[in-house]
Amino acid sequence: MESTRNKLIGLLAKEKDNYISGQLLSDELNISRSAIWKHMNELKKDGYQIEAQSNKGYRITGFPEKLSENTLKWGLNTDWAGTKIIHKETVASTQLIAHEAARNNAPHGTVVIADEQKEGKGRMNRHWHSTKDQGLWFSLILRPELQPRRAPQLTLLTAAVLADALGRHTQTEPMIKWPNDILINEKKCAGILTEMQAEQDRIQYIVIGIGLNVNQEETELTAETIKKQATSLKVETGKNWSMKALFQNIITTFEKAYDFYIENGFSDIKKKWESYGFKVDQRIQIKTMNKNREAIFKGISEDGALVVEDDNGDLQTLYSAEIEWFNNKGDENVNEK
Amino acid sequence: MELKANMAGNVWKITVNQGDKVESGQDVVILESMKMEIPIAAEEAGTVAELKVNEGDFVNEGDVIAVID
Repeated sequence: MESTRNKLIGLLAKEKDNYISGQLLSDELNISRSAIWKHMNELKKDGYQIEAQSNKGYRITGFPEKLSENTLKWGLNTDWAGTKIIHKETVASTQLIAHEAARNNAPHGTVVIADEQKEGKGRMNRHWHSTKDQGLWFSLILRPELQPRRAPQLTLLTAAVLADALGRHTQTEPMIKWPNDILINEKKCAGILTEMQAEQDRIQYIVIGIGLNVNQEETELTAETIKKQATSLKVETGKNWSMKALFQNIITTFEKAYDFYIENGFSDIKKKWESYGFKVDQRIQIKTMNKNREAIFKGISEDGALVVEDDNGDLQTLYSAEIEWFNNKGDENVNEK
Repeated sequence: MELKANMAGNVWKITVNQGDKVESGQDVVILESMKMEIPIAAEEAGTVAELKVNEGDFVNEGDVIAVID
């Protein structure tokens, strides 16, 4: 029953504008036309908008807001990103499922997305809180033919894509906190976790995890975070946003940027990243293993590392450092516990 | 066999001890670079003869991390 339903939605979803006759559906699904009619009524109850014309057939004119493989794909116009979508209601972490899918040969561009993550992963084993139905929690599988050392560039590319897509879509002014946190009004709205499986000189696959706070109310955010520096699109704009439209915007923007990067290299992505860079040309506090110091954040290097200038005018490239980005507030653990 | 860093970064975690037997594909060290975790795995099965780094060390691309016999 369930699979017939999914096939039916799949058939209707393929044709965005054209009607599909009841006869054709009945032939394809091997069920009677009256069974089709019953299915249609069930779909309408679930929130699908279906138009029926007596001499033409059926077509879908609207999907329910609820995420599913069909709703996310309908109207998505990409060549490879998100052409395969694995949707789950509740998972421990979309990253784990994406790794498993990648090991089982899931194609480049596969997306794993969930309504809710019970053990969402942040960087360095931190937890990422993923409220049910209130945000986009997904992982994207990539199979780039790149040297492993170039993998971090994809994290920065993803950050630039998110800043770009969110800025355009919601009329906000996102900034990127190096290397890959998205801030709106200096509060964290989205995070990125990049994980790689690689040999010495070859990437097997990369999984890019994205967590975006969308429709949480302020109370839902502060109740769940240690430090009150998390935000959502709802909090910043006062509006609810369609998860599906946001997802499609991000995936479409990502595909364009990725193809451009593979073709032309990192330099334009670097410029774009720097245009969104939080505290570029300002003083920041740097904590390394044994000392704290201040320097001016100049931007990022060709491989994505942090470039700072000390008081003697010397430039330094940092691959690993804890930065105090906010005065008197800790940088880490934002929306992570 | 020398196991080398495939990018610059900090040694975040060492997941084996000297003398341990490792399988091919088993993680030996996890680097952190630009907030990414980079697992460095043994390419062949063997014994960890020598660990050349400590947690917290900075390594450049190509630096030897461990020797596996």
